[in-house]
Amino acid sequence: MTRLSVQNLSVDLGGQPILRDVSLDFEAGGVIGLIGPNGAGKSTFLKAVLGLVPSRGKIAYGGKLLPEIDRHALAHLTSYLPQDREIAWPLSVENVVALGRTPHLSALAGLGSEDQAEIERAIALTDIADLRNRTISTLSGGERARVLMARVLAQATPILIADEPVAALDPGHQIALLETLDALSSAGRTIIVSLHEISLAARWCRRLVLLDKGSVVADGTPEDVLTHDHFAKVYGVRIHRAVTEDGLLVQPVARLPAEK
Amino acid sequence: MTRLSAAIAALIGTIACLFTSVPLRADAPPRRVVSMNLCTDQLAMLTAAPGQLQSVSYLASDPQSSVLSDEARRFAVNHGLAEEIFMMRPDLVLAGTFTSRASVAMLKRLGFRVEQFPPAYSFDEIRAQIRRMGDLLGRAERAEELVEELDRRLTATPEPGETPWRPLAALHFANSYTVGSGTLSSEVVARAGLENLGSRLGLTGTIRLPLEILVVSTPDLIVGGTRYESSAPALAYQTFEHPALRAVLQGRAMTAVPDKYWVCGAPFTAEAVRILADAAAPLSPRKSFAP
Amino acid sequence: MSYRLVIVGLALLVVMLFAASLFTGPAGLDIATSVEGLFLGGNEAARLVMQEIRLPRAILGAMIGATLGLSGAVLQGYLRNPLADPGVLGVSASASLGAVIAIYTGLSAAFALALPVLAMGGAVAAVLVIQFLAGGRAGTLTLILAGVAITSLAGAMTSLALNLSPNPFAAMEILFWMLGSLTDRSMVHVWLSAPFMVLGWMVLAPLGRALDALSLGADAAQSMGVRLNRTQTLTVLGTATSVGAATAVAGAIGFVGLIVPHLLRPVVGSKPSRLLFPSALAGASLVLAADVAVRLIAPERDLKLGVLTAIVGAPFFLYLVIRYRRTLT
Repeated sequence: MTRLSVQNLSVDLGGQPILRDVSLDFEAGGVIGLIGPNGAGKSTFLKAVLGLVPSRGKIAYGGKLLPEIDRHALAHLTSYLPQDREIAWPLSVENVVALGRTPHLSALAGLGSEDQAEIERAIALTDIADLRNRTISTLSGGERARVLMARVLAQATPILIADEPVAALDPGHQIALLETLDALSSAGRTIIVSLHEISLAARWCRRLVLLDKGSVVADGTPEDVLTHDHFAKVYGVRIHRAVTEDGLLVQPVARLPAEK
Repeated sequence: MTRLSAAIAALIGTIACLFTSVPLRADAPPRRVVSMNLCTDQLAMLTAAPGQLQSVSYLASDPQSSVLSDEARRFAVNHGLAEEIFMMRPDLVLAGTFTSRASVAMLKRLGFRVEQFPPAYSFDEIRAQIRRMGDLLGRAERAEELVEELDRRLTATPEPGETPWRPLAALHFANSYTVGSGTLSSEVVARAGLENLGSRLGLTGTIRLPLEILVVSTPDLIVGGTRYESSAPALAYQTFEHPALRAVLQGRAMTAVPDKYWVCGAPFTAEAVRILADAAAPLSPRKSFAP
Repeated sequence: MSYRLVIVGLALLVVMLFAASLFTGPAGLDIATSVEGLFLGGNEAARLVMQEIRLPRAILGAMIGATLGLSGAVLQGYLRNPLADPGVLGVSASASLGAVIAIYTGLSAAFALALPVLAMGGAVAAVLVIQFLAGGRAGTLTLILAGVAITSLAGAMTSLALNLSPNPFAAMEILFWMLGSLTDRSMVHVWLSAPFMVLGWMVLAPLGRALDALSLGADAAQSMGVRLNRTQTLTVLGTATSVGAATAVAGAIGFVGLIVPHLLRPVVGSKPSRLLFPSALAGASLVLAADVAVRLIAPERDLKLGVLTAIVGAPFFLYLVIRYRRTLT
């Protein structure tokens, strides 16, 4: 039940076309990275797939069309880390992570043993054990990002969607998180993340989808997608590209002169 | 009662500078009398000679406030504004002591003779005021007739004698107000052979009496004022529907004494005495349920 | 502090204040007579005072307080804003307007249920307008301004309706509607409002989970299974029903829903679902305490309940504005 298929997805927001006729299929087996310039439509794509913005086209989870899946059932299938990291109340870290269990809780019962187990696992995976009793409003940006990621992990769904999950993290935690996501995807979960960090994407994503102006420009392995040509056309930059024993290394180095 | 003070409108006009004061002739009775106050309106209507009274206030024709509302229609209406009254060129202006000070002061400055009557607070006061009105209007004989009428009507109700028991009457008006001693209403209640709860509790004037205390005092009679609800309801009368009040009434109705009989002191105030005495007549001492 | 301990403590407080309310009043009955009047009914005067005057007053005090506390906690959770409160947002003022229209046109005299129904209608209108003006993630400033606008408009229209009434007393009754009072409420008022208040509670109480999830934002909450439309409908209906019915019989009592969740957050934490029940209990305590104070401070006069809650609440509101001023957008 980890298959997500999108066909001819188009989204207009505020009268502007954001996504045009996008078709993609997602499966377990490697972190799938969504990359592209600002305004390419990455966040909108992720929201559309979750039914958070109105869209045209077909979105199907394991063959079942999105409109036919109710919110509660969908919450058992996918979890979502939004780009907006606002938290309204000074909750404790543990309470925030526990929120991830919301779809699994029955109306009156509290957290069960299975819930606690998932929460502990999530805390361990994101390395926030020493923060568990802190109030979230007192944490740094990076610590907060890890806590919110833990919330998503605690939801324990077959499909996990994250919008810029490593943006605020230090290099050590960035790598740790991507390793975790990679392990989860190998264990059978479909992981889709959008990110700007090209070097990380090159190293840890088994598949990349390059979006530009609402359409898919490239879809394949990092080697296929992160080419001089694509970078020139989409980002307007020159890259330094090398295949090393640690894998593909890509670094944007200079802007290309604007050409017609 | 207190409605008097609210009844007279404030002075707002500007007065032309050219006027002369009206000459006074102390010996001859006044020929153009204008009354600005509900109580002086009615006393004047009762006492004046035909053609002597020119104008009464607008309240005199309101049937809920005035006993003589029909007669009042024969006279010109004024709203207590110095401007209107000036135009009528009266040689005597009658006002209450709560009539707008500005209006009264203005009229005096303009040279008019203004005689003010305070609210009557007892039957003796009423008699004195009737006589004073008679003197002012040169109608002393007529005034004596009215005093006799008052006394005659009062004697129709027997004086409260040495009967050992007087029914306890609670006066209950809008917003839980009651009347204590030192008021005309209190005198009326006493004359009718009842005891006023407000007086028993040591209250004076018009004052709020909490519903709880009324209930605990277990009055034999609850006297309600006029309910100004014919046109529209208000919260002021909510207590009249309260289950606790109903229980105290024990199935009987509240005794209604129309405000118009005791707002102003006049011969017709005896009517209020009669109504109360009639309401009290069938009562007998009952087992009080006070602790 | 243990959650259970807090609940028990607050419940005890409510019981004690309920008793205090029953034993406070101008009639000066001693405890023995009061108890006898309340339960045994031997002494008729005491029975009337206790059962027909004091009991409905205490019941309404507790239920209205619970309503205001609960709806304040729900509104703060739903709007993700610590300054939300049915009074601040204009819900109470609009309910007053509905009630005034019902009473002063004579509608409620003809049809008793018109009173709570119109009051609830006024409340619904206010909550919907707030929702529309404030949008998804409402800035504090936007919300407060919307509330000010609604309160002003509702207050002006209430004043107008009262001044236009031919009844000479109507114009002065604006004080009751704007400040609230429990004086001389009878069991009739209890039966008229209690079912609706309870209904509102039943609609609001299960919202705890959704409110918790909403702490992370509307998108995250939806991704965790919260149906936003349903949550909005329940919040609107529950608040309007309970606050509307409460206002219909007691006028607009302010600030209770604002103060109570704030006092409780340091004790039970900020999780919205944990605040709901304690807020109801604390709200009941607050209103009962204010109602007792009103009778102790000015026993012969009819001091309005809202005066006391405003004396405490308005400075508290000011303190909150100062504390949160950096987040005002």
